[in-house]
Amino acid sequence: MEVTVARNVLEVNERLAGENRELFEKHGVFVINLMSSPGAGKTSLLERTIEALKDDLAIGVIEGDIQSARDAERIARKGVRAVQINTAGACHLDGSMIRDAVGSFDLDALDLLVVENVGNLVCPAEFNVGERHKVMILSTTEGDDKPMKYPLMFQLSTVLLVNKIDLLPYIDCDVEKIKSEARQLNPKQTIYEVSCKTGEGLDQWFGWLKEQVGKPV
Amino acid sequence: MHEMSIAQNILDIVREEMARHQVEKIEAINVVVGKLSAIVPSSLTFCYQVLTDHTDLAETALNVRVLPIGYACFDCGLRFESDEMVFTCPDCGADTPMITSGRDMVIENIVVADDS
Repeated sequence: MEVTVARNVLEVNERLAGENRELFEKHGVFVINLMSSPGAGKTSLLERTIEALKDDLAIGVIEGDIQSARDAERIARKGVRAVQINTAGACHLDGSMIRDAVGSFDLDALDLLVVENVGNLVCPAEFNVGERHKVMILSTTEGDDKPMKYPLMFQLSTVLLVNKIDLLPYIDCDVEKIKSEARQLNPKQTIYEVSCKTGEGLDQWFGWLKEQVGKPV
Repeated sequence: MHEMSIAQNILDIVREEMARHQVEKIEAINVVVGKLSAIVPSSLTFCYQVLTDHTDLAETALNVRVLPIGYACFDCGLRFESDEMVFTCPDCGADTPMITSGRDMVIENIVVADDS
């Protein structure tokens, strides 16, 4: 005899992520979940963003790594509060980890909270943490065949930053191919070509952030 | 991915349901997963066996059914399914039909022995 269950296997994380999201919206904090492969430039992007916007926006950062507080230290050196989560093995952040970290912030004093996820192009996309938008980085050195190989992250990210464009003269990377495949997976995705090293293209990203932070939910 | 933590989530939910329905023994658990959830059924059932070995659920089968990806065309409204990523509507040729389903992971039911 079959007894109906009809329950979502990931219901616990979805509930926690939903509660986090309500909390952020109640306190007027705009939250993004920043994802990429290791070394694509998440922390560098955040350093550049803080340098450019910290006089306009109150920013907080939750750092996720398997081990080490290096990223939180880099962010703290820019004068912004950063809380480091060490997952000790888990390859992505989830709703419960973010819920535990949020207690370290005065949410009423924040405009923008960035969750810098563990470097991984697969798993973080599967776990909502309560963010309003997912933002991802693909760097030119990773190759232009990646969108079709890792479709979910591209499908779910509102913004794609193609980073390290300063290295294009030295590598084989067709940025137009990245953009056209990403758009096949996600026609509404906003794509910016940037270099965190030279600063090229970053103004568009700063503009998008400022515009989003100001928007009502 | 994460078949081990997903198997654990399934077990937690199933034990809750068993307590709720006051059932002590079940024969099978039926789960459906969408193709885009990237679950490998053999990996999931293996992890489930590892977790239930030497427990009261050791003889219970975990059946995993994979559902195709559901699509709807923005232009002509056609609804269709495919096991593959589809970027062109098979009817009108419009670009990138919307994905309507494919990431679900749902425990459909548990199978209780008829005499229990």
